Amino acid sequence: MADNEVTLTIDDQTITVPKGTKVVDAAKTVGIEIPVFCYHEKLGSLGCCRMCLVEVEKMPKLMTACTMDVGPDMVVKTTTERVEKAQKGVLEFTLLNHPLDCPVCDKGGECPLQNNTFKYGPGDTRMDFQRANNLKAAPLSPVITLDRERCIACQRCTRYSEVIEQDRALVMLNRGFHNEVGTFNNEPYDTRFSGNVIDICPVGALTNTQFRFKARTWDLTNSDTLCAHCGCNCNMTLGVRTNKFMRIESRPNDYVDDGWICDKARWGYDFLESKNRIMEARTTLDGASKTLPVKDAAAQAANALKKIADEHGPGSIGFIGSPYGTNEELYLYQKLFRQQLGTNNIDHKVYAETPGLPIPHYDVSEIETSDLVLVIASDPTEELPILDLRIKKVVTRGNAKLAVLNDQSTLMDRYAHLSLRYDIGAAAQVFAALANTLAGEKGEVQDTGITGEQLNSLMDMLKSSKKTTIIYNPAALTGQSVDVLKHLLSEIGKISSMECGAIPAAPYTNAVGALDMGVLPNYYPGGVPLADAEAVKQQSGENSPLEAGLSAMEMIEKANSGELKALLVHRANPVVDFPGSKKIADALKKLDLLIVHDMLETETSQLAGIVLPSNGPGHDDGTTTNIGGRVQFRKGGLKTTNAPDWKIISMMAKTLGDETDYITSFSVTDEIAKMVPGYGDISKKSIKKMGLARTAAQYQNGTKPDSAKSQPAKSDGLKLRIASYLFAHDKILDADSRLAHQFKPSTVHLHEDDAKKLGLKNGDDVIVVSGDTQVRAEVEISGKCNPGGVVLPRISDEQGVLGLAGADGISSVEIRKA
Amino acid sequence: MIQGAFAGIKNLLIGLGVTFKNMVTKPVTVQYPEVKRTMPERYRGRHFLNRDENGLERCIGCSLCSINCPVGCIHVVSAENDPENRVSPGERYAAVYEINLLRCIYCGYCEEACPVDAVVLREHYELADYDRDKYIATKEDLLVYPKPNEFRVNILGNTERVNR
Ligand code: SF4
Ligand code: SF4
Ligand code: SF4
Ligand code: SF4
Ligand code: FES
Repeated sequence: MADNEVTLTIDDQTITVPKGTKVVDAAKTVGIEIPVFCYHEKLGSLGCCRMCLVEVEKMPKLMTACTMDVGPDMVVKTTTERVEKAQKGVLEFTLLNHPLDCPVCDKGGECPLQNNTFKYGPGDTRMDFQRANNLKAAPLSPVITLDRERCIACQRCTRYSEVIEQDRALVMLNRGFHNEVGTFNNEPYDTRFSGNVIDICPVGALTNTQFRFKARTWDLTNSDTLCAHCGCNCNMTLGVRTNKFMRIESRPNDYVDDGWICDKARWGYDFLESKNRIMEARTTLDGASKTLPVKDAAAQAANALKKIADEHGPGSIGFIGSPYGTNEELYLYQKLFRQQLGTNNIDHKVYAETPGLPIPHYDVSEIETSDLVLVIASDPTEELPILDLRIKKVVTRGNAKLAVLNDQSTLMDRYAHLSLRYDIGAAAQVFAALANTLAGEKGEVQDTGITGEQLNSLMDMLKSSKKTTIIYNPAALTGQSVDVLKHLLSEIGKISSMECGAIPAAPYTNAVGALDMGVLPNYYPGGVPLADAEAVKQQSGENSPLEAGLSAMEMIEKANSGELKALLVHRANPVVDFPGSKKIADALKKLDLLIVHDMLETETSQLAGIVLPSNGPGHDDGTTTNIGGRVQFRKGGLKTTNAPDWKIISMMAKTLGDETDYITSFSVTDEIAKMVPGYGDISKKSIKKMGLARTAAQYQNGTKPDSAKSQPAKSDGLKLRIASYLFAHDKILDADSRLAHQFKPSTVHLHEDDAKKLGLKNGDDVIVVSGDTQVRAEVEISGKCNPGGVVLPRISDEQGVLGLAGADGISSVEIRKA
Repeated sequence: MIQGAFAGIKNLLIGLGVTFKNMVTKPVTVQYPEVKRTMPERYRGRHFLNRDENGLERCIGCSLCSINCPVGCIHVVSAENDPENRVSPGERYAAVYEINLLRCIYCGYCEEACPVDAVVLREHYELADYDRDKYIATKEDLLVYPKPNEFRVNILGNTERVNR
């Protein structure tokens, strides 16, 4: 037996568990249940409810199993008469003032209080006085309702707020009989993660306002699915009744979400039943808009693309996919365009990221065992919220240190041991300086906003760490800075005293999958570069096109110049999401044929000649790959008569002569396993429970970027950084969204010095101008970025911030008083 | 032999006694449909939904009847009460309440499960009709408050919708 293990006896069963395990958890490993209320394995012990009393030999009194660590040769009994009497007593006490609400209570059927009472409680009550009454429906926030009568004061929710969220937003107010859950000054409890308290509340006190009184838990058809909002791919349960969406709950998977989901997952699924959904295929090709069967529309779209490709060459058509699509959709689309239409004009993004990393691709759970987390250009709180919780966990409750390297301040800074802020646009130079220093050369950090000393302290942190996880957001890195960063990663990988790995944390749901599936102009699936003609032919057949394709932005340019004639856009909205906005719309209008395959009506779908309906998450099955490279199954839940996306794509392929028959989405998954390097082990079975990490693609471009200078802004205005905001008012969170209370006004963050120069003060209305795009915003003078830059969070589609961005690199803006 | 004959006659007279007695007693059969039988109070016929003393619906939409029903013929969709405009006394009421009377086996489990004595099976037994669709009893059909054994020929032969 190892030193760190303890052997004890629980109810005559001898077990060996790691030191420090609580008796409750130890009992659980051999299937002995000790009832609990206040204990939760992610929150730790408190010992306030006394439900978990057990008898321990040689201890005179009953002990709480949730606070007691296992000890060597301990003998625990959980079913003695004394224990049973105590359990009855505790339950009787807990129920003293508890209302008889079970028939109407939302928790009924899945309520620990109900279950424990049923199993361990007295069959009857001895109370014949009037119980205390309290507020039945206190809104804690627009989405959470608190029934004060049902609260048993277990403090799970308040500890969650303190320990997990690190916010202390929800607290226990008052003492004794008046003890109650609340917030300071009755402010709404509306953090990014507030909804989890509903799941952990052991009674029906904290209820989901959306689900309140809507259905009984046993009436729901729950499908184990994934959240489709960001790259974390958190596991969640979609509750459906009579084909109507009811609620979302968390579904713990320690490799992915550690048991939590964010509020965007819990309340951001109203789009499933949005008025704005595209339900029918339509075409405007012959004049007026008319609807037609999806099958015909798919055939028409395929034939039209083929015709244009035949007439003008395959280079005249293109495909813009989406990092929100599933692996199956992405794979089939790239296959359609490469094999049937013969073009490499395939892309899914407007930032420069390539498949493969010079160091291992870490799973999110690797963060837990790291002792240094280095966050580069990423803002997990807004972009990948559950990653934020994980980082907070290791920093505040583990031994890890946090270093942040960013051009804007983020909420992560509060937890960082070292937080470096470089100037907007200076990323490449900073990364190069760091890489050079690591390689033993001189690192130049002049004009980057950070000092050599700061760089050295980061270096020291790296060198003294045993295991480092580097989290970077490629979507926030412009120009060639991603390449420089990869060079830096390979230099970091050379530190021999340290294990390290990276997590490419682009915020989009399946950004990693899109790279892996080869939805790129210059890489085939699995990161096989076009340059490696042999490998490509071996993988995808002799007829695979080898000519480099156009990137998404190049396609838009060529559309503008008339060289690109036809474009298929799947689940993307370039008009709003691509830099240039209005210019994009103009370019798309010049196309002979624009096909949009999407779930919701967008500015882009309005311009389309053929529109195909996409069912999207909640309806369609498929797999996605999260930022940690874990492939998981995203199950549908709601039924629809429309064909799933993969089927529509395969209809198009069939129209053009492809013979393959897919029966379910897993037929496509099986083909991916066969065809895509790194996905060989992925199958319905292997990803079933926890998902499975795929093998990362090989790193290709190992060139050391030579002249890594900060990118010059186009004029001498202020350099613009567009930041993310989790609850942005877009197509997914529309005006009817339950999260509308989280929408924010447009705000531009200025440095004090710049504000002084411009004569602006807090709250001033301004217009941020670049070229002919103007964005209204309110001034906030904050240290969010270094002087010479502005940070403008993207808070809605209407705001139009992407219009300010240049097609490549950092753009500079002017700020005018409104 | 003679003894045997006497015994035979005696038995015959006992038998005929029953006959004569029945000739003068009131018959148990009734002239249905002109005459309708009064059913015992706890007879399990068609369902009804009760109202409380204030005329509010008793049903709180808890679906316990539905989950207890062995054939799953009850469909309940609940909703939250508007305190200004109450449907039921509590926080929640049944917005939709349907029973498929064709599937029902008249076991009475729903009645037993109901925590507020809302759904009850009553003595109404005339359940024949030509149209299957009429057998989905909705709230309107169920929320009538019939007097015991007072039948009116209407939907499903015996009740009138009185709440609209
Ligand atoms: S919290 Fe549990 S025990 Fe209390 S009323 Fe609700 S279901 Fe019943
Ligand atoms: S609201 Fe729920 S979780 Fe919070 S203290 Fe009360 S019973 Fe516990
Ligand atoms: S009587 Fe029995 S079968 Fe009929 S609805 Fe009630 S529970 Fe169901
Ligand atoms: S009839 Fe009774 S058991 Fe059925 S939903 Fe209504 S209150 Fe609940
Ligand atoms: S679970 Fe042990 S005291 Fe509450």
